[in-house]
Amino acid sequence: MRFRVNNPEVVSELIDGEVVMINLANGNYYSLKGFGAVVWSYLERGVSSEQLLELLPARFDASREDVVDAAEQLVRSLREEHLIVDDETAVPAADALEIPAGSKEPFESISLETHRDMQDLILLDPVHEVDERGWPYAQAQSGA
Amino acid sequence: MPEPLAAVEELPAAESTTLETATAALRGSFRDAAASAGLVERSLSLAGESVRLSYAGTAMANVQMDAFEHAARDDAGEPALRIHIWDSRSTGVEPPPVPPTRGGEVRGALYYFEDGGVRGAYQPGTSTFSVFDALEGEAWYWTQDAGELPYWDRAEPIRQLLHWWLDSRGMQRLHAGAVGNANGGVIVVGRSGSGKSTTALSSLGAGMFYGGDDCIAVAVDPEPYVYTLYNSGKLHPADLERFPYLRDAVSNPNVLDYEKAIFYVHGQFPDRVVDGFPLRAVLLPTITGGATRLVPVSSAAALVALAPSTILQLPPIEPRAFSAMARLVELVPSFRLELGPDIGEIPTTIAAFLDSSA
Repeated sequence: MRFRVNNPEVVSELIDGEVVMINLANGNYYSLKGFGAVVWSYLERGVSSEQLLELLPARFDASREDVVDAAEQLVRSLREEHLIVDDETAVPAADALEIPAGSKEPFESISLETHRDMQDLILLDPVHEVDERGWPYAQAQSGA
Repeated sequence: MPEPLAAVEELPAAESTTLETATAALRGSFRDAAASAGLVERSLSLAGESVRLSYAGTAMANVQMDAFEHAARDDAGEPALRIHIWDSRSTGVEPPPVPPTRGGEVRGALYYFEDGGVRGAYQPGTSTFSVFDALEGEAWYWTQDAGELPYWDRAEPIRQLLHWWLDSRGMQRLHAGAVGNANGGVIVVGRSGSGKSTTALSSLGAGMFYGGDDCIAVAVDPEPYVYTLYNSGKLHPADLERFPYLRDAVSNPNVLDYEKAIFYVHGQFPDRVVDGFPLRAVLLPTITGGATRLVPVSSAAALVALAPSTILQLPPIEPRAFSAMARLVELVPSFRLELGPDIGEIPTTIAAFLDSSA
């Protein structure tokens, strides 16, 4: 199964090994560290779930079972939060399948840190795009 | 659930026409208002640029200028931005054409458009209409009645226009407070109740520079730099007891049953409001009850505290603003500011950091 980041609704930044994501549609925002940030980076570069389950155990110092369980759980969370969407046309970037040289990285299962406190702002101060014809074009008098 | 919008007077929606004739209608409305009530012009120095505010009459000038008094200049030079500001009630002119709305909306609903370098936002709940033409460096702000503007629009006037203008100049408006001294300053970020205002106002009381408690501007290049937009602040009335030196600066003491207290720092402490200062750190206040101290946190933690509320507050929601904030927090260190019970320790802690980083 392949995915893509749910652009343009979702924006993300990788900074000092952590990923911060915002879902602009509902105001929820998220962060991921360590193992989670690596998973996000792979998904962002078009790596499939099957490829992910081959790459991650080779990269992290833990049992294959632990790494696979953590990866599957995280991908499930990312899909549930609509941060990634299914996209079978996604193609991995040229260097996406390379495993960094050197010893394996320490493994710690990471859950998606989720913040929902901005939902009120979206509800109380909703932003509507003016009709695609835009101001100054008037819609038919439909409630104005 | 949000309160449904109370009956709002219906305004004339724009008739089908061109952008050019619509902006001409805005110009015409302002010209008529100024002819009726007189033209009042004020020059400001904001974010290192000259800004000219042209008011039709004194009603809107009286509402807005207290927040900008720190930036007023007799001659700020050729303006990079000209803003025309008027209301219909005091000038007697008809409202300009506004975008059509759906009706039955929450009070905060906003209608946004962007067309050929012109951006606009209409809020039927407050009857305010902001239009910015980036190419011409010209903007318009109309409201139905200057006397009906909500307290947040009085404390931070034309916020939407300044947001667009700063973006057009490669700068960012941030949802943050800022304080500093001769060695630079910090921005203070976090959700409501985290201690943002407490940090800014206790620092002000200790003699530090005040850059704002909620809305500031920053430039990333050539170095991170904070600009003061407003010398105002807002406080829950109950919190005024902790800041007795602000009592005389409160502008709305008779309506504190239903408004936050708005105060203007410049009138009380003119030497403590500066145009800006170099940014040395991002602080994330959190009330712990222990000793007041700075604890390093990751850049990502600072981005989480800063970016969502800034980006989601005003349209348009732009991914590049997120990237700019990520770059900003990479350039300066970030700390959790743990707040103890003695608010006097807050400015001491910040000043010690700034002095050590000079």
